[in-house]
Amino acid sequence: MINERTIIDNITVLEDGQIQVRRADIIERDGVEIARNFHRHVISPGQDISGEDEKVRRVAGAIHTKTVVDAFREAVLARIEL
Amino acid sequence: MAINVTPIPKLSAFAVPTITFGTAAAGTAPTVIRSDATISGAVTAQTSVDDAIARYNGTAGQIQGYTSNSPTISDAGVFTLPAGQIVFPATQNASTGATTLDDFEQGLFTPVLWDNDNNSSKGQGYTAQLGRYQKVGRIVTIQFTMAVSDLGTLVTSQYAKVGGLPYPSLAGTNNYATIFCGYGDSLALSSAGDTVGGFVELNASYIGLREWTATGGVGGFLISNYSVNGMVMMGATYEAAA
Repeated sequence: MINERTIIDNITVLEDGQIQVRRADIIERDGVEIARNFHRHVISPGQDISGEDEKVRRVAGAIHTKTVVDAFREAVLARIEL
Repeated sequence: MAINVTPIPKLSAFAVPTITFGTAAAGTAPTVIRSDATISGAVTAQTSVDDAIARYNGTAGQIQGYTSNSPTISDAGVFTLPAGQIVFPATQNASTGATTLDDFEQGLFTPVLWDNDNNSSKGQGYTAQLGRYQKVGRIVTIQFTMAVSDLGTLVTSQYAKVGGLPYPSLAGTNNYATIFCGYGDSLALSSAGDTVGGFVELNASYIGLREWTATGGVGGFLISNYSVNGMVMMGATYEAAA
């Protein structure tokens, strides 16, 4: 029997609070994994997380404090706009 | 078989420490290994070739014999994989070494059209939205196709960005990586002959799009220039933060 499932298999928090999220799309045959494909995206401090996986939302909720969000925004504003 | 160890300190006045294997039959001497003995060829696999790497089979300590799939290391340090793969950890074991390869991964990402809000949930609609990436060390190579069917509430007078990149880029002044645009359709460029360019923003996971509108260089590429039904095929190579 072929079964497909999706998990968030890797969440990496960078020093400035950006969160790298990796989703694994797994295909199994008779319970044995035969393929695993990755999908990635990044969540910046202050970014909308309403559509994220619950695990990701919990991590972002803990990491993206007002201090972290404000510091990230300041760093963005300090960049030279091209 | 009994093993008797005679731990006698090596002093000039005493005998060399020895290990004795077994009990000798009448008329024969037991096998004795002196501590100053040189053992050669005592540990062997059933089969081997020159430069083969010794590895264990199971947990009993038995050395695995060589097969045609086995890797080798030459006397010059050349590592050869006749079959198999190199698998990196699921989570990067990041290194700062300039000659250390510490990561490989490939997968998909979903490009999204952003205005200044960097928000994917402003009612944007797409008829094509596929990105692929490969990361080798800190170098990320991406390619994507994005065709927009609905601009939603994106502000048409603001610069167009492509969000959703798989990794944030490296920070630091002037560490910009440029993108290339090889195909476009149903865009609303300022004038025919202009080309679309852009760059990966510093310490960010999006691309700032620009249009070559002047003899001196680029101008803004706005949401209105992307326009409803606008489609691009783009790629970039940039350095990730780790």
